[in-house]
Amino acid sequence: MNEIVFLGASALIVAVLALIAAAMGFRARVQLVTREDVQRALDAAEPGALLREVAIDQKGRAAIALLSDGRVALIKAMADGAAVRALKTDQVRVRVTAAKAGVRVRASMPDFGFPSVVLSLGAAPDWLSLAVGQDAAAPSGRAARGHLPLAGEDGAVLNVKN
Amino acid sequence: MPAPFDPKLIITYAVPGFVVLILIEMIWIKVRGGGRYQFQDSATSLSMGLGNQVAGLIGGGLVIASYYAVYQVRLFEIPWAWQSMLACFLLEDLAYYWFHRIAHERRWFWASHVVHHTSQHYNLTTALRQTWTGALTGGFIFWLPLVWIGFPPEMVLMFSAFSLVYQFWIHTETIDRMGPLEWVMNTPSHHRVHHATNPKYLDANYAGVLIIWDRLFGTFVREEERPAYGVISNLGTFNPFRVAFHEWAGIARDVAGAKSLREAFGFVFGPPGWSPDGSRKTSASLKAAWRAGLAAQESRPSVSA
Repeated sequence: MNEIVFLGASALIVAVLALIAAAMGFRARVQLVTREDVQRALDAAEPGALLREVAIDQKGRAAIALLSDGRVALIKAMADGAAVRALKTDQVRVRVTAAKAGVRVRASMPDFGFPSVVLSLGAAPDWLSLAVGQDAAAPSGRAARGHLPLAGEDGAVLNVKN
Repeated sequence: MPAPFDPKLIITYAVPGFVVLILIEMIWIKVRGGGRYQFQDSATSLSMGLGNQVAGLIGGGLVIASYYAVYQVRLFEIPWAWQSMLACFLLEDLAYYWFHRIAHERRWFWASHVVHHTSQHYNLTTALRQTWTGALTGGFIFWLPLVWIGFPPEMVLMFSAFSLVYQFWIHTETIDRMGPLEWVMNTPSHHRVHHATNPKYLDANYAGVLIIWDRLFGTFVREEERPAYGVISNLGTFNPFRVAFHEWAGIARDVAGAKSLREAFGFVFGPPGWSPDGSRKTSASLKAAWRAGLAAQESRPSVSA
Protein backbone atom coordinates (compact mmCIF):
# COMPACT_ATOMS: atom_id res chain seq x y z
CA MET A 1 0.00 0.00 0.00
CA ASN A 2 2.86 2.36 0.92
CA GLU A 3 4.42 1.69 -2.47
CA ILE A 4 1.19 2.62 -4.25
CA VAL A 5 0.99 5.90 -2.34
CA PHE A 6 4.68 6.58 -3.07
CA LEU A 7 4.20 5.90 -6.79
CA GLY A 8 1.04 8.01 -6.92
CA ALA A 9 2.82 10.92 -5.27
CA SER A 10 5.77 10.45 -7.63
CA ALA A 11 3.47 10.56 -10.66
CA LEU A 12 1.97 13.78 -9.37
CA ILE A 13 5.43 15.28 -8.88
CA VAL A 14 6.42 14.26 -12.44
CA ALA A 15 3.37 16.02 -13.84
CA VAL A 16 3.94 19.16 -11.73
CA LEU A 17 7.64 19.41 -12.65
CA ALA A 18 6.85 18.98 -16.36
CA LEU A 19 4.19 21.69 -16.13
CA ILE A 20 6.58 24.02 -14.31
CA ALA A 21 9.22 23.42 -17.02
CA ALA A 22 6.64 24.21 -19.71
CA ALA A 23 5.43 27.29 -17.83
CA MET A 24 9.02 28.51 -17.52
CA GLY A 25 9.31 28.44 -21.28
CA PHE A 26 11.67 25.49 -21.65
CA ARG A 27 10.61 24.60 -25.16
CA ALA A 28 12.48 23.28 -28.17
CA ARG A 29 14.84 25.81 -29.68
CA VAL A 30 16.00 23.89 -32.73
CA GLN A 31 13.92 24.18 -35.85
CA LEU A 32 14.54 22.91 -39.32
CA VAL A 33 13.74 25.88 -41.52
CA THR A 34 16.40 26.10 -44.17
CA ARG A 35 18.45 23.63 -46.17
CA GLU A 36 21.43 24.73 -44.07
CA ASP A 37 19.60 23.75 -40.86
CA VAL A 38 19.02 20.28 -42.25
CA GLN A 39 22.61 19.98 -43.47
CA ARG A 40 23.82 21.03 -40.00
CA ALA A 41 21.71 18.32 -38.37
CA LEU A 42 23.00 15.84 -40.91
CA ASP A 43 26.63 16.86 -40.30
CA ALA A 44 26.29 16.06 -36.60
CA ALA A 45 24.84 12.60 -37.18
CA GLU A 46 26.24 11.53 -40.53
CA PRO A 47 29.51 13.37 -41.12
CA GLY A 48 30.28 13.73 -44.81
CA ALA A 49 26.71 13.17 -45.98
CA LEU A 50 25.50 15.79 -48.45
CA LEU A 51 21.95 16.80 -49.28
CA ARG A 52 20.75 16.29 -52.81
CA GLU A 53 17.06 17.03 -52.33
CA VAL A 54 15.20 18.05 -49.20
CA ALA A 55 11.61 18.59 -48.10
CA ILE A 56 11.12 20.49 -44.83
CA ASP A 57 8.03 20.47 -42.66
CA GLN A 58 6.20 23.82 -42.59
CA LYS A 59 6.43 23.90 -38.80
CA GLY A 60 10.15 23.15 -38.85
CA ARG A 61 9.84 19.93 -36.86
CA ALA A 62 11.07 17.44 -39.45
CA ALA A 63 12.57 16.93 -42.87
CA ILE A 64 13.11 14.19 -45.39
CA ALA A 65 16.06 14.28 -47.73
CA LEU A 66 17.75 12.41 -50.52
CA LEU A 67 21.50 12.28 -50.00
CA SER A 68 24.19 12.48 -52.63
CA ASP A 69 25.24 8.89 -51.87
CA GLY A 70 21.77 7.65 -52.78
CA ARG A 71 20.46 7.13 -49.25
CA VAL A 72 17.45 8.84 -47.79
CA ALA A 73 17.61 10.71 -44.48
CA LEU A 74 14.76 11.25 -42.06
CA ILE A 75 15.43 14.16 -39.72
CA LYS A 76 13.47 15.22 -36.63
CA ALA A 77 14.08 18.23 -34.44
CA MET A 78 14.38 16.80 -30.93
CA ALA A 79 15.00 18.77 -27.74
CA ASP A 80 17.84 21.15 -28.66
CA GLY A 81 19.26 18.89 -31.32
CA ALA A 82 18.06 16.55 -34.01
CA ALA A 83 17.61 12.85 -34.55
CA VAL A 84 18.65 11.50 -37.92
CA ARG A 85 18.39 8.16 -39.68
CA ALA A 86 20.04 7.63 -43.06
CA LEU A 87 18.96 4.49 -44.86
CA LYS A 88 18.81 2.78 -48.20
CA THR A 89 15.81 4.09 -50.08
CA ASP A 90 14.00 0.76 -50.14
CA GLN A 91 13.95 0.70 -46.32
CA VAL A 92 11.74 3.79 -46.11
CA ARG A 93 8.00 3.80 -46.73
CA VAL A 94 6.37 7.06 -47.72
CA ARG A 95 2.69 7.90 -47.63
CA VAL A 96 1.34 11.17 -49.00
CA THR A 97 -2.18 12.39 -48.27
CA ALA A 98 -4.02 15.57 -49.13
CA ALA A 99 -4.27 18.05 -46.27
CA LYS A 100 -6.12 21.34 -45.77
CA ALA A 101 -3.29 23.39 -47.14
CA GLY A 102 -1.11 21.16 -49.23
CA VAL A 103 -0.06 17.61 -48.45
CA ARG A 104 0.86 15.52 -45.46
CA VAL A 105 3.84 13.21 -45.90
CA ARG A 106 4.45 10.32 -43.53
CA ALA A 107 7.77 8.50 -43.86
CA SER A 108 8.42 5.44 -41.76
CA MET A 109 11.18 2.90 -41.27
CA PRO A 110 11.72 -0.18 -39.10
CA ASP A 111 13.17 1.46 -35.97
CA PHE A 112 11.19 1.35 -32.71
CA GLY A 113 13.13 4.34 -31.41
CA PHE A 114 12.35 6.48 -34.44
CA PRO A 115 8.63 6.51 -35.21
CA SER A 116 7.26 7.93 -38.44
CA VAL A 117 8.34 11.36 -39.62
CA VAL A 118 5.33 13.49 -40.52
CA LEU A 119 5.70 16.59 -42.66
CA SER A 120 3.17 19.21 -43.69
CA LEU A 121 4.14 20.59 -47.08
CA GLY A 122 2.56 23.15 -49.39
CA ALA A 123 3.01 20.67 -52.19
CA ALA A 124 4.95 17.48 -52.59
CA PRO A 125 8.25 18.22 -54.31
CA ASP A 126 8.85 16.57 -57.65
CA TRP A 127 11.39 14.07 -56.40
CA LEU A 128 8.96 12.91 -53.71
CA SER A 129 6.08 12.86 -56.16
CA LEU A 130 8.10 10.58 -58.38
CA ALA A 131 8.47 8.23 -55.46
CA VAL A 132 4.81 7.86 -54.70
CA GLY A 133 3.01 8.67 -57.93
CA GLN A 134 1.16 11.64 -59.32
CA ASP A 135 -1.41 11.73 -56.50
CA ALA A 136 1.13 13.44 -54.31
CA ALA A 137 1.57 16.36 -56.65
CA ALA A 138 -2.16 16.87 -57.10
CA PRO A 139 -3.72 15.87 -53.80
CA SER A 140 -7.20 14.52 -54.20
CA GLY A 141 -7.72 13.16 -50.71
CA ARG A 142 -6.63 9.70 -51.82
CA ALA A 143 -3.42 8.52 -50.24
CA ALA A 144 -0.47 7.59 -52.36
CA ARG A 145 2.16 5.38 -50.90
CA GLY A 146 5.32 3.62 -51.89
CA HIS A 147 8.97 3.13 -51.28
CA LEU A 148 11.30 5.93 -52.19
CA PRO A 149 12.98 5.44 -55.55
CA LEU A 150 16.42 3.93 -55.70
CA ALA A 151 18.15 7.19 -56.33
CA GLY A 152 20.09 7.04 -59.54
CA GLU A 153 21.47 10.11 -61.28
CA ASP A 154 18.31 10.34 -63.35
CA GLY A 155 16.07 10.00 -60.30
CA ALA A 156 14.36 7.00 -61.88
CA VAL A 157 11.46 5.47 -60.00
CA LEU A 158 12.30 1.83 -59.50
CA ASN A 159 10.31 0.75 -56.55
CA VAL A 160 6.88 2.28 -56.56
CA LYS A 161 3.98 0.44 -54.96
CA ASN A 162 0.70 2.34 -55.14
CA MET B 1 23.96 -6.79 14.35
CA PRO B 2 20.96 -5.95 12.16
CA ALA B 3 21.03 -3.25 9.48
CA PRO B 4 20.74 0.20 11.10
CA PHE B 5 17.94 1.13 8.68
CA ASP B 6 16.03 0.05 5.60
CA PRO B 7 18.23 0.81 2.53
CA LYS B 8 15.11 1.53 0.45
CA LEU B 9 14.38 4.53 2.65
CA ILE B 10 17.54 6.25 1.41
CA ILE B 11 15.96 6.72 -2.02
CA THR B 12 12.55 7.56 -0.54
CA TYR B 13 14.00 10.30 1.65
CA ALA B 14 16.14 11.60 -1.20
CA VAL B 15 13.19 12.22 -3.53
CA PRO B 16 12.12 15.54 -1.96
CA GLY B 17 15.73 16.69 -2.26
CA PHE B 18 15.74 15.67 -5.94
CA VAL B 19 12.60 17.73 -6.56
CA VAL B 20 13.96 20.82 -4.80
CA LEU B 21 17.30 20.61 -6.63
CA ILE B 22 15.54 20.21 -10.00
CA LEU B 23 13.49 23.33 -9.30
CA ILE B 24 16.60 25.25 -8.23
CA GLU B 25 18.43 24.14 -11.38
CA MET B 26 15.52 25.19 -13.61
CA ILE B 27 15.38 28.63 -11.99
CA TRP B 28 19.18 28.96 -12.14
CA ILE B 29 19.23 28.11 -15.86
CA LYS B 30 16.32 30.45 -16.57
CA VAL B 31 18.02 33.32 -14.76
CA ARG B 32 21.72 32.66 -15.35
CA GLY B 33 21.88 30.24 -18.28
CA GLY B 34 24.62 27.61 -18.33
CA GLY B 35 22.40 24.63 -19.00
CA ARG B 36 19.45 23.45 -21.02
CA TYR B 37 15.97 22.18 -20.33
CA GLN B 38 13.05 21.23 -22.51
CA PHE B 39 9.82 20.20 -20.91
CA GLN B 40 9.09 17.23 -23.18
CA ASP B 41 12.57 15.86 -22.64
CA SER B 42 12.30 16.36 -18.88
CA ALA B 43 8.83 14.82 -18.77
CA THR B 44 10.23 11.74 -20.50
CA SER B 45 13.18 11.56 -18.10
CA LEU B 46 10.94 11.88 -15.06
CA SER B 47 8.49 9.31 -16.46
CA MET B 48 11.36 6.90 -16.97
CA GLY B 49 12.29 7.41 -13.33
CA LEU B 50 8.74 6.69 -12.27
CA GLY B 51 8.63 3.57 -14.45
CA ASN B 52 11.92 2.47 -12.93
CA GLN B 53 10.28 2.54 -9.51
CA VAL B 54 7.37 0.43 -10.80
CA ALA B 55 9.82 -2.02 -12.40
CA GLY B 56 11.68 -2.12 -9.10
CA LEU B 57 8.57 -3.41 -7.34
CA ILE B 58 8.53 -6.31 -9.79
CA GLY B 59 12.22 -7.00 -10.36
CA GLY B 60 13.62 -5.81 -7.05
CA GLY B 61 12.51 -8.99 -5.32
CA LEU B 62 14.63 -11.05 -7.69
CA VAL B 63 17.70 -8.96 -6.87
CA ILE B 64 17.20 -9.13 -3.12
CA ALA B 65 16.42 -12.87 -3.23
CA SER B 66 19.64 -13.44 -5.19
CA TYR B 67 21.67 -11.46 -2.64
CA TYR B 68 20.26 -13.47 0.27
CA ALA B 69 20.67 -16.77 -1.57
CA VAL B 70 24.36 -16.11 -2.20
CA TYR B 71 24.77 -14.76 1.34
CA GLN B 72 23.81 -18.20 2.65
CA VAL B 73 27.11 -19.57 1.29
CA ARG B 74 29.28 -16.60 2.34
CA LEU B 75 32.98 -17.04 2.94
CA PHE B 76 33.26 -14.81 6.01
CA GLU B 77 31.09 -13.34 8.73
CA ILE B 78 31.51 -9.59 8.27
CA PRO B 79 29.99 -7.42 11.01
CA TRP B 80 28.50 -3.92 10.77
CA ALA B 81 31.58 -1.94 11.79
CA TRP B 82 33.18 1.19 10.36
CA GLN B 83 36.09 -0.79 8.89
CA SER B 84 33.78 -3.22 7.09
CA MET B 85 31.56 -0.37 5.94
CA LEU B 86 34.54 1.44 4.47
CA ALA B 87 35.60 -1.73 2.67
CA CYS B 88 32.03 -2.31 1.46
CA PHE B 89 31.78 1.26 0.17
CA LEU B 90 34.98 0.84 -1.86
CA LEU B 91 34.06 -2.60 -3.20
CA GLU B 92 30.49 -1.53 -4.04
CA ASP B 93 31.91 1.38 -6.02
CA LEU B 94 34.34 -0.96 -7.78
CA ALA B 95 31.48 -3.36 -8.59
CA TYR B 96 29.52 -0.41 -9.97
CA TYR B 97 32.46 0.60 -12.15
CA TRP B 98 32.64 -2.85 -13.77
CA PHE B 99 28.88 -3.18 -14.11
CA HIS B 100 28.73 0.23 -15.75
CA ARG B 101 31.66 -0.50 -18.04
CA ILE B 102 30.18 -3.80 -19.23
CA ALA B 103 26.80 -2.08 -19.58
CA HIS B 104 28.43 0.10 -22.25
CA GLU B 105 30.50 -2.62 -23.87
CA ARG B 106 27.96 -5.45 -24.26
CA ARG B 107 24.65 -4.92 -26.02
CA TRP B 108 22.69 -7.22 -23.67
CA PHE B 109 23.37 -4.84 -20.78
CA TRP B 110 23.45 -1.74 -23.01
CA ALA B 111 19.86 -2.44 -24.13
CA SER B 112 18.84 -1.64 -20.59
CA HIS B 113 21.36 1.06 -19.73
CA VAL B 114 21.05 3.00 -23.02
CA VAL B 115 17.83 4.51 -21.65
CA HIS B 116 19.87 6.67 -19.27
CA HIS B 117 21.83 8.12 -22.20
CA THR B 118 18.98 8.90 -24.57
CA SER B 119 18.43 12.52 -23.56
CA GLN B 120 20.20 15.12 -25.68
CA HIS B 121 20.16 17.32 -22.61
CA TYR B 122 22.22 17.05 -19.47
CA ASN B 123 20.40 18.27 -16.42
CA LEU B 124 19.16 16.89 -13.12
CA THR B 125 16.11 15.28 -14.73
CA THR B 126 18.48 13.27 -16.92
CA ALA B 127 19.71 11.56 -13.76
CA LEU B 128 16.24 10.12 -13.26
CA ARG B 129 15.98 8.76 -16.82
CA GLN B 130 16.44 5.18 -15.68
CA THR B 131 15.87 1.75 -17.17
CA TRP B 132 12.78 -0.39 -16.72
CA THR B 133 14.56 -3.64 -17.58
CA GLY B 134 17.59 -3.61 -15.30
CA ALA B 135 16.67 -6.63 -13.19
CA LEU B 136 15.84 -8.66 -16.31
CA THR B 137 19.35 -8.27 -17.71
CA GLY B 138 20.89 -9.66 -14.53
CA GLY B 139 23.15 -6.67 -13.98
CA PHE B 140 22.98 -7.33 -10.24
CA ILE B 141 25.40 -10.25 -10.65
CA PHE B 142 28.23 -7.71 -10.44
CA TRP B 143 27.40 -7.16 -6.76
CA LEU B 144 26.98 -10.83 -5.84
CA PRO B 145 30.71 -11.33 -5.08
CA LEU B 146 30.35 -8.83 -2.24
CA VAL B 147 27.65 -10.81 -0.46
CA TRP B 148 29.51 -14.03 -1.25
CA ILE B 149 32.55 -12.60 0.54
CA GLY B 150 30.29 -11.95 3.50
CA PHE B 151 29.14 -8.32 3.41
CA PRO B 152 25.53 -8.26 4.64
CA PRO B 153 23.09 -7.72 1.75
CA GLU B 154 21.62 -4.69 3.55
CA MET B 155 25.06 -3.11 3.71
CA VAL B 156 25.61 -3.65 -0.04
CA LEU B 157 22.14 -2.33 -0.83
CA MET B 158 22.75 0.67 1.41
CA PHE B 159 25.90 1.69 -0.45
CA SER B 160 24.22 1.02 -3.80
CA ALA B 161 21.47 3.43 -2.74
CA PHE B 162 24.03 5.99 -1.56
CA SER B 163 25.81 5.69 -4.91
CA LEU B 164 22.56 6.27 -6.77
CA VAL B 165 21.77 9.33 -4.66
CA TYR B 166 25.33 10.65 -5.05
CA GLN B 167 25.12 10.30 -8.83
CA PHE B 168 22.01 12.47 -9.02
CA TRP B 169 23.66 15.85 -8.45
CA ILE B 170 26.49 15.30 -10.95
CA HIS B 171 24.03 15.43 -13.87
CA THR B 172 24.27 19.15 -14.38
CA GLU B 173 25.93 21.70 -16.64
CA THR B 174 25.60 24.42 -14.02
CA ILE B 175 28.66 23.28 -12.03
CA ASP B 176 32.06 23.64 -13.66
CA ARG B 177 35.27 22.08 -12.30
CA MET B 178 35.56 21.40 -8.57
CA GLY B 179 39.26 21.81 -7.83
CA PRO B 180 41.02 18.99 -5.96
CA LEU B 181 37.75 17.02 -5.72
CA GLU B 182 38.23 16.24 -9.41
CA TRP B 183 41.21 14.03 -8.53
CA VAL B 184 39.24 11.57 -6.45
CA MET B 185 35.51 12.08 -6.83
CA ASN B 186 33.18 11.64 -9.76
CA THR B 187 32.08 15.19 -10.52
CA PRO B 188 29.70 16.93 -12.95
CA SER B 189 32.66 17.58 -15.27
CA HIS B 190 33.75 13.92 -15.31
CA HIS B 191 30.21 12.68 -15.81
CA ARG B 192 29.48 15.14 -18.62
CA VAL B 193 32.27 13.40 -20.49
CA HIS B 194 30.61 10.06 -19.81
CA HIS B 195 27.32 11.26 -21.32
CA ALA B 196 28.93 12.78 -24.41
CA THR B 197 28.99 11.36 -27.92
CA ASN B 198 32.10 13.23 -29.02
CA PRO B 199 34.42 10.46 -30.30
CA LYS B 200 37.18 11.33 -27.83
CA TYR B 201 34.72 10.99 -24.95
CA LEU B 202 33.18 7.63 -25.92
CA ASP B 203 33.41 4.81 -23.37
CA ALA B 204 34.99 6.91 -20.64
CA ASN B 205 34.44 7.82 -16.98
CA TYR B 206 32.33 4.91 -15.79
CA ALA B 207 32.76 5.86 -12.13
CA GLY B 208 29.94 5.89 -9.62
CA VAL B 209 31.28 7.86 -6.67
CA LEU B 210 35.07 7.67 -6.99
CA ILE B 211 36.80 8.54 -10.26
CA ILE B 212 39.89 6.62 -9.11
CA TRP B 213 38.67 3.44 -10.84
CA ASP B 214 38.74 5.13 -14.24
CA ARG B 215 42.19 6.47 -13.54
CA LEU B 216 43.28 3.00 -12.43
CA PHE B 217 41.80 1.06 -15.35
CA GLY B 218 42.65 3.55 -18.10
CA THR B 219 39.18 4.83 -18.95
CA PHE B 220 39.54 8.35 -17.54
CA VAL B 221 39.12 11.25 -19.97
CA ARG B 222 39.28 14.90 -18.91
CA GLU B 223 36.60 17.34 -20.08
CA GLU B 224 38.14 19.61 -22.72
CA GLU B 225 35.83 20.30 -25.64
CA ARG B 226 32.10 20.95 -25.16
CA PRO B 227 30.22 17.65 -24.87
CA ALA B 228 27.39 16.75 -27.26
CA TYR B 229 24.94 14.63 -25.31
CA GLY B 230 22.83 11.67 -26.32
CA VAL B 231 23.60 8.46 -28.15
CA ILE B 232 25.21 7.84 -31.54
CA SER B 233 21.80 7.35 -33.17
CA ASN B 234 19.61 9.71 -31.17
CA LEU B 235 16.02 8.71 -30.60
CA GLY B 236 13.28 10.38 -32.61
CA THR B 237 10.70 10.10 -29.85
CA PHE B 238 9.81 11.23 -26.33
CA ASN B 239 7.47 8.26 -25.81
CA PRO B 240 8.68 6.53 -22.60
CA PHE B 241 7.72 3.06 -23.85
CA ARG B 242 9.73 3.50 -27.02
CA VAL B 243 12.64 4.86 -24.97
CA ALA B 244 12.47 1.87 -22.62
CA PHE B 245 12.29 -0.85 -25.24
CA HIS B 246 13.83 0.50 -28.46
CA GLU B 247 17.15 -1.32 -28.11
CA TRP B 248 15.43 -4.58 -27.14
CA ALA B 249 13.30 -4.21 -30.28
CA GLY B 250 16.50 -3.63 -32.25
CA ILE B 251 18.05 -6.79 -30.81
CA ALA B 252 14.92 -8.80 -31.64
CA ARG B 253 14.94 -7.51 -35.22
CA ASP B 254 18.64 -8.26 -35.65
CA VAL B 255 18.38 -11.74 -34.16
CA ALA B 256 15.38 -12.51 -36.36
CA GLY B 257 17.48 -11.57 -39.39
CA ALA B 258 20.64 -13.37 -38.26
CA LYS B 259 21.98 -15.97 -40.69
CA SER B 260 23.70 -18.12 -38.07
CA LEU B 261 23.85 -18.75 -34.35
CA ARG B 262 27.18 -16.92 -34.25
CA GLU B 263 25.58 -13.84 -35.78
CA ALA B 264 22.68 -14.00 -33.34
CA PHE B 265 25.14 -14.29 -30.44
CA GLY B 266 27.07 -11.31 -31.77
CA PHE B 267 23.93 -9.19 -32.03
CA VAL B 268 23.01 -9.96 -28.42
CA PHE B 269 26.35 -10.05 -26.64
CA GLY B 270 28.66 -8.16 -28.97
CA PRO B 271 29.48 -4.49 -28.50
CA PRO B 272 26.60 -2.09 -29.24
CA GLY B 273 26.61 -1.47 -33.00
CA TRP B 274 28.24 -4.79 -33.79
CA SER B 275 27.31 -6.28 -37.17
CA PRO B 276 28.63 -9.32 -39.03
CA ASP B 277 30.06 -7.22 -41.87
CA GLY B 278 31.26 -4.38 -39.65
CA SER B 279 29.08 -1.92 -41.54
CA ARG B 280 27.56 -0.36 -38.42
CA LYS B 281 29.17 2.09 -36.07
CA THR B 282 30.64 0.93 -32.77
CA SER B 283 32.44 3.03 -30.19
CA ALA B 284 35.69 1.40 -31.27
CA SER B 285 35.16 2.18 -34.96
CA LEU B 286 34.12 5.77 -34.22
CA LYS B 287 37.16 6.30 -32.04
CA ALA B 288 39.42 4.70 -34.64
CA ALA B 289 38.02 6.99 -37.35
CA TRP B 290 38.52 9.99 -35.09
CA ARG B 291 42.13 8.99 -34.31
CA ALA B 292 42.81 8.39 -38.02
CA GLY B 293 41.45 11.86 -38.78
CA LEU B 294 43.72 13.37 -36.14
CA ALA B 295 46.74 11.46 -37.44
CA ALA B 296 45.99 12.59 -41.00
CA GLN B 297 45.81 16.19 -39.84
CA GLU B 298 49.11 15.93 -38.02
CA SER B 299 50.93 14.25 -40.92
CA ARG B 300 49.70 16.82 -43.45
CA PRO B 301 52.68 19.00 -44.47
CA SER B 302 52.31 22.54 -43.23
CA VAL B 303 52.20 25.24 -45.86
CA SER B 304 54.65 28.04 -45.23
CA ALA B 305 53.91 31.51 -46.46
